[in-house]
Amino acid sequence: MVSDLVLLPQFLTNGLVIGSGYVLVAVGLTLIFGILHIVNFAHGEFYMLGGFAAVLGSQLLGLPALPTLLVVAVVMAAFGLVVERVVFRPLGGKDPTNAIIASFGLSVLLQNLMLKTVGAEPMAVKSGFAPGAIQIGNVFITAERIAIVAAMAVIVAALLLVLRYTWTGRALRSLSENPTVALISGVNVRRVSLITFVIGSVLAGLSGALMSTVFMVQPNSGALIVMKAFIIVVVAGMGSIEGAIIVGLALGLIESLVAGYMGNELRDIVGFLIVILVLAVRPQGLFGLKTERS
Amino acid sequence: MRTPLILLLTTAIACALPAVLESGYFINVAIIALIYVILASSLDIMMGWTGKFSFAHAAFFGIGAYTAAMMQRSFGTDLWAHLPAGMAAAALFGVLLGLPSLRLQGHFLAIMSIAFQTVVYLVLAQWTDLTGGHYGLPVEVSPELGNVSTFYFVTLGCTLVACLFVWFLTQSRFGDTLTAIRDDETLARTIGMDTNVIKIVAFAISSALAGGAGVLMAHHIRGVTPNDYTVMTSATIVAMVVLGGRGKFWGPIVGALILTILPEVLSDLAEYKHIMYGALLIFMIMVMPQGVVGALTGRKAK
Amino acid sequence: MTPPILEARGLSKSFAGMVALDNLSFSVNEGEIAGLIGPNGSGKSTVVNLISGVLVPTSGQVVMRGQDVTGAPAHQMARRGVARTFQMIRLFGTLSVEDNIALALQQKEGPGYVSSFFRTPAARRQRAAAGVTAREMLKLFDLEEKASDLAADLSIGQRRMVELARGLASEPTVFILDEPAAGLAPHNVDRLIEMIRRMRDEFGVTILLVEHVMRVVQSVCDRVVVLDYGQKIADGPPAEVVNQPEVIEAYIGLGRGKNA
Ligand SMILES: Nc1ncnc2c1ncn2[C@@H]1O[C@H](COP(=O)(O)OP(=O)(O)OP(=O)(O)O)[C@@H](O)[C@H]1O
Ligand SMILES: [Mg+2]
Repeated sequence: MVSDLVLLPQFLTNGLVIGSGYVLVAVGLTLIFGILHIVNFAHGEFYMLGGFAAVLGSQLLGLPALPTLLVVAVVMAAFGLVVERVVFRPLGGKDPTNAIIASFGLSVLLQNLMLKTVGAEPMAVKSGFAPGAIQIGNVFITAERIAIVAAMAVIVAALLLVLRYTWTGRALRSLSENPTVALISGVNVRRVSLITFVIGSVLAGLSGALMSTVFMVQPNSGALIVMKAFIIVVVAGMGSIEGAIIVGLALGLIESLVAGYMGNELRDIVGFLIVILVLAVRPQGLFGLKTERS
Repeated sequence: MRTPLILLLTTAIACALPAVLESGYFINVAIIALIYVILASSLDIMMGWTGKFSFAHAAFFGIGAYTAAMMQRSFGTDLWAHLPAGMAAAALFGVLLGLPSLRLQGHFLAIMSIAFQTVVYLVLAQWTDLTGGHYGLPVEVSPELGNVSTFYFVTLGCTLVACLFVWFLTQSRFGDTLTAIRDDETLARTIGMDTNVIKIVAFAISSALAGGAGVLMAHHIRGVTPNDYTVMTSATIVAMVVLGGRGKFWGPIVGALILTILPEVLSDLAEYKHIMYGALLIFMIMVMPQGVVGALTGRKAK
Repeated sequence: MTPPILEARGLSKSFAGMVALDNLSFSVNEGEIAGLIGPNGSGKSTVVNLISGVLVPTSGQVVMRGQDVTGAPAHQMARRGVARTFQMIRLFGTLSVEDNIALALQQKEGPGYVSSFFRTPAARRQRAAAGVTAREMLKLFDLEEKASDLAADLSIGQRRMVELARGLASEPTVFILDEPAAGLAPHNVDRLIEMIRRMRDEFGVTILLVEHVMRVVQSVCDRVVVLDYGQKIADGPPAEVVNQPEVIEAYIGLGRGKNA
């Protein structure tokens, strides 16, 4: 038992790292849902593409860490722009069923396209940091892992500031929280939708790039991550950004503890059992408001 | 009553197939196509008729297949025992997914079904003692069914029964109730339909048929592995239903036949089939959301 | 004295903390045409949803003929003889007008699911009979030539009438109409008034009428209950109620709940 507790700080640290990756993906997903009212089933593939964009930057172009992230952001922004324009805008406002099926199709398409172009072998993203773990007390951690947590904190803080203090950010928030009022006060829905989708794509891509320095990237990397993001967004309540941050970190911690104390094979299942439970009992999520439709 | 007659006629013609196709390879393709006809038609009970999503159909397909493999391992049973057992097991899990899904709509239902699909996959792949893990389990076929033509006839018979069942079901009062739920669930309730019970029964029936298809599949490929029952397989079945046309009897049948036979005919395309399915889903939804059969028959035809 | 056919006892409903209905009590007697009026957002549709089982009250009771039916799901309320229409008309859009009505009819005396699957002669007979009754019903509402049209293709006025036909076809004991005159042209309003009267006089249906159009309320209702901000502010014959100061006040403060 004593040795178990000695490992606790290590497990918590690992959980924090994974949770940070989840947060970035989930925040984008929830943002897109809040504004466009679509659940993007291809969001995990955006994460995966971010990982490959980072491979492109760090391996093929030999760029250092920050410029690589910049490349990822630019690539993902462009990609998000195209997808919103070509797929989701034309489907907007119609039967949500169609957007669900189309985004599911997009997910299948992207995953298999990458499989054909780069193959199934996992690829690593080079961070350029000194190898080896740093020891802090009982905890061992690599520079990449620290960077993931730090980057997540910076990106999320920046996002929250943008949402609070810029005109676009406020328009975005108001459209998500009170569409009628936002429309009356002249918010340009199309523009805000586009911006939201682009932000969501960039966040997912950055997460993919960061996480791939530790876990490597392959065409199906996004499949499980998007599931985790769904879990987080559903548990937090669709559209709740703060909720997604809290639940995202919590899921990372829970998974890490489960893997550490109960066995690795249970790690992924726990989240799904939580989501099935939450959906069954409180479909609006822990932080969502209850709305009954009649 | 014209549809069942056309169905019988088509089946009669299909009986001639083994004689025409000399190569065992094409008979194998035909068997797979038939299995997917069952899968797509049964998924359409939920997706087309009831308007409820499921990206978990491959999970029920897998549950049927694994039931066969595990029963045979423990009791040495054969296909005729596996069919009812696999259908019952899949139906049971269908109810298990159906119960927590009763209050869910649209996105939430889609997420719930994907979560369920993933849990089933993870269990199949990781509970090695029970399922054989990633290597799966072997399935042996009793000698009288060992011939590929014989197995083709068995599959054809099962497919015919399944399709007739779906037709009678959707044309009956049950089908009317499903349509009512799809159009407006609140209204369906206020005119006196117990929509929860109906939805659970629909879940169970749809899953049971997928389970039956799984039993056939396990016997056909002589084994089960978790990778045959992933979310990609679910995507394939969804693509068949969308391509053919949701809520139309011939829709999923046509969709399944096109999507299994096309990659074989254009064999250069076979390795790109998942890319094609993904692109097709997007394309169909944007250009022809009612599907091929839907576009051909128009919305008034029933 | 027989108990009222329908009774609300201290009904309250709140949505996410917002009180839509506050301790409302009223009753509807057998054979009555009772009105329920009030400004926009005063909680009328919420009352309909609570009685028809679409929503569950936060507190209070719904009582039918002295029996507590609070919280019974919608399909059970339908089987107990409560039919309703919707403020935003609801029909099965992909079904024909006739099927819309036949489906409602079959809930009471339709074939069983199993016999209908096997197409037994009895099941076919019952299904055919439902179609005949549905057409008779449509004739009553002057819609027989629309019987095989898709419900989604009709005009608003016709769709309203189909909703009435659907409810009446199910032989309800209480029929709740939620703003049936909304969006109707004046001559259709006259027709509506006539049909509401006939449903009570010829078919013996008790009616709870939610309505904004005062002309309808004043010409058909025996009694009206007035709601404001989820509370009852008046209850009595229409001619008396409209002259009460609270009611005038509630309606003159018009426009305040407009966006609700
Ligand atoms: N499902 C719901 N979820 C949240 N709030 C609701 C819901 N239904 C009604 N409300 C709120 O409850 C209040 C009463 O609404 P209700 O629809 O009962 O009013 P009404 O009297 O029927 O108004 P109208 O004349 O506009 O039909 C309103 O403020 C409305 O916004
Ligand atoms: Mg109302």
